[in-house]
Amino acid sequence: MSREGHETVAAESATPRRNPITVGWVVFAVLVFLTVVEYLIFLWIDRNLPIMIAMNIADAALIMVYFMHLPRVWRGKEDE
Amino acid sequence: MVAETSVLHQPQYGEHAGHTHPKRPAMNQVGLWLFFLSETFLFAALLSARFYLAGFHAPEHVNQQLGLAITIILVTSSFTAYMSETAMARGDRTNFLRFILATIFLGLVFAVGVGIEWSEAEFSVHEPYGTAFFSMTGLHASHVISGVGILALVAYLGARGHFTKDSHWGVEAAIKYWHFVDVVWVFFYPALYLINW
Repeated sequence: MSREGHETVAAESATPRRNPITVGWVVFAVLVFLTVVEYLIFLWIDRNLPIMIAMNIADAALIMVYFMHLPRVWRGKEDE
Repeated sequence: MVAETSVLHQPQYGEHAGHTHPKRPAMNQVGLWLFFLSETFLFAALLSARFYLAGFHAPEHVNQQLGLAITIILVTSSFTAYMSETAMARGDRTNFLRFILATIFLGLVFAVGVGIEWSEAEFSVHEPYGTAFFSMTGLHASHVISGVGILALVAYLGARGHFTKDSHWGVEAAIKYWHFVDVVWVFFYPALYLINW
């Protein structure tokens, strides 16, 4: 690996990682909040399709990124 | 790095002529995500069929409170599944078992909730919305039940000492599957209960 590559790996390992338990609680709270807001939108807004689609995508993205660790797929094997 | 470029090292995916890509994707992860992608096509077909058959109107005869409750239960089960995986990644077997059993329990409660919804449904399978409702919830519930089975197997193996903090792909894959089932419901819940246009 080139010197530049070594420096990139070193810089990534030096990045402070968030506490996974805190991440879990925050994502869980946001997901429950979004679910309740979806229900309230159903009660209050008649033509709600675009808002619902946007909220569903946000929900799914949160789960895939934080709970399913989607970004790990593209990480190097040395990161596992 | 030195070990990776040794003479004995066999070239694998992402390596060319002794050069290693620093961002080589992990094949087990890619394979699992391809499986999720193939499942997504199945669920997406049902989702589009729901709107084609029954239009973009929210149904009047569904139990909204029950729908909200089972959705929150499934989201909570995703959280407990995540905590279970995190515990195993730290080598904390007690909390791993505690959280995975909680996930199994919540999954069963969700399945019972769907059963209650089916038993008190005021529409039949012969109506357009009924066709969509029973096929979507039925297919999803079958995935929930199979997910419960997979999690139970992982819990059993974990209790017997399988998996370690450095080697727990089985736990990770089973829990990713559970999260995938949750992602599907994130789209099914509003499509069946909430969306109106």
